[in-house]
Amino acid sequence: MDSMPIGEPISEAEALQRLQQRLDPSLRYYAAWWLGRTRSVHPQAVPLLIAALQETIDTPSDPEALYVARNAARALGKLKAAEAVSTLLQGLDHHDHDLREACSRSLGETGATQALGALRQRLERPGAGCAAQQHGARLQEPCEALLEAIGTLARGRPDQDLCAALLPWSQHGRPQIRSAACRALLQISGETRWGKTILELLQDPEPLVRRGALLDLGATGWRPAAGAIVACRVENSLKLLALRQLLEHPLGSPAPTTVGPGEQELLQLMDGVL
Amino acid sequence: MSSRAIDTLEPLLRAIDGAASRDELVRCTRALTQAMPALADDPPSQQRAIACCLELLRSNNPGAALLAVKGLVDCGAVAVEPLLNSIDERDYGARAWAVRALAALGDQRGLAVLRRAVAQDIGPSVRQAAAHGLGRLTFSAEERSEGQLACLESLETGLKDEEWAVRYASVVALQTLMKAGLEPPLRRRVATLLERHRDADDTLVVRLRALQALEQQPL
Repeated sequence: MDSMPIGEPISEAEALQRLQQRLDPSLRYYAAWWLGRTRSVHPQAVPLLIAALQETIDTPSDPEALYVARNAARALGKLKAAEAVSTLLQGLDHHDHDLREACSRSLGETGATQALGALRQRLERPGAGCAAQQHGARLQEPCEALLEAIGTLARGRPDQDLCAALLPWSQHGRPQIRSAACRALLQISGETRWGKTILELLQDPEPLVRRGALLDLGATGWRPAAGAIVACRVENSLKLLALRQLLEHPLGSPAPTTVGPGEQELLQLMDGVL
Repeated sequence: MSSRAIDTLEPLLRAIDGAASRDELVRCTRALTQAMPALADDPPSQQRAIACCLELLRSNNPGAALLAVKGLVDCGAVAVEPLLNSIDERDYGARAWAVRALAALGDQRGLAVLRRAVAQDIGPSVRQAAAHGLGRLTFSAEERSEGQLACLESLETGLKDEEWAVRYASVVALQTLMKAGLEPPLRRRVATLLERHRDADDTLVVRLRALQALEQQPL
C-alpha cells in the first residue's frame, strides 16, 4: 500500500539523511516509506534501505529496527532493487509475520525468479495455512503475499509441478486465499477456469473479498474480466485501477503508436468509471 | 399535487431521522432518492429533500452519501445553489461529496469550486472527479470563452498531478472540451498538451488515452 499518514513534504536529500541518522526511528520509518513512494533513483537509496533491513535480521529483538525494516522491505520492492534479493530472502525467515509478508511481496516485485524456491518452501511449511491464533485474522504464514509473489515470478511459464502445489490453496477456507491462489494459477497456466473462479468471488457478499478479487483480476491482465469488473459492487477508483492493469499488461512500454480495438474498448470502460 | 408530495416526503424524512443503524440509513436514503424525481413539481418539497441530502453528505456514511449525491445530481440545476451554499471548510468529507456532485451536475456555477478542488484537494479521487467535471461544464454564450479558458488552465494543473488517475481524467476532460468546440488558439493549446502526454507521460494508460484523444479529435 502506498498510503501512509500524511507527513510534511521532504526532499530526497532529507529522506536519505533521515534514514541514515540514528536518533529518531520515526524519522527513519517515514524516510524509508518516502524513498519507495517517490521511486527514488538516488544511488544511496537502495544501499541504505538494504542496511535498514539487514539491521533487523542481525538484531531481530529490536522492535524499533523492525518497524523501519518493514518499510525498507516494502520500498525495496517498489524500487525493484535486484541487489536486495539476498537480504529480502533472509527477511523471509524473520520471526515477524509482517516483515515476512513485506519481503514476499517485494521479492515478487523485483522479478527475482531465483526466489521462487524459497517462497514455495515457506508456503509449504506444515500449518502455513492455519490460523496463527484461534479466531485470529492471520495465518501462520503470509500466504496471500506468498501466492501473489509466486504467481508474479512464475507468470507465463507453465510448470505442472508448481501448479499442482498451488492447487490445494484454491480450496482454502478463506476466500482471499482462494482468490490469490487462482490468480497465481491463471498467471502461470493461462487456463481461464481460474479466472472464472475469481469472477465468482467478485460477487461475494463481503466487500473486502470483492475488492481483493477485483485487484487479483487486474493483476492477471485477463481481459475477458473487464465487463464483470465494471459491473461489480466495488468503488470506482479500484475499478479504474484494475482496468488500467488489464489494458497495460499485454502491451508493455513504450506505448503502441495506434490504439487497437481491444484497447479502445477498455479505454471506454475506464472513461465510464471516472 | 403539492399535498401529495408532502405526504410522500414526510415519512421518508422521518425514517432518515430515525434510522438506527448505518445500513438502515442507506436503505432510507435510497427510498428518498427514488422518490425525489416525483417531487420536481413541488419546489418546497424538493428543496426540503435537497436539504436532507446535503445533511446526508455530512453523515460520515459513504453508502448514504453516495446515494445522496445521486439524488442531488438528478435534481439538476435547482441543486446547484444549495450545494454551493453548503460547502463547509471544516468538514472535509462533506466537501468532497459536494465537489463530486458539482462535477456531475456540469453547471457553470460550479466552476470555482471545481478549479479549487483540482488545484488543492488532498483526496486524489476528489481531484479526479473535479478534473473530469471541468470538461463537462455547460457555459452560457457570454461566459463561454472565458469559462473554457479557465477550465483549460485548471486541467493543465491536473495534468501535472502526481496521481495518474487525475491526469487520466484531465486528458478525458480536455478531449471533451475539444469535442464541444474550442476557438482555434485554445484548440491548438489543448492539442499541444495532449501531444506532450502522449509522448512523455509516466503512465502508459495516460499516454494511450492522450493518443486516442488526438486520433479522435484531429486538429
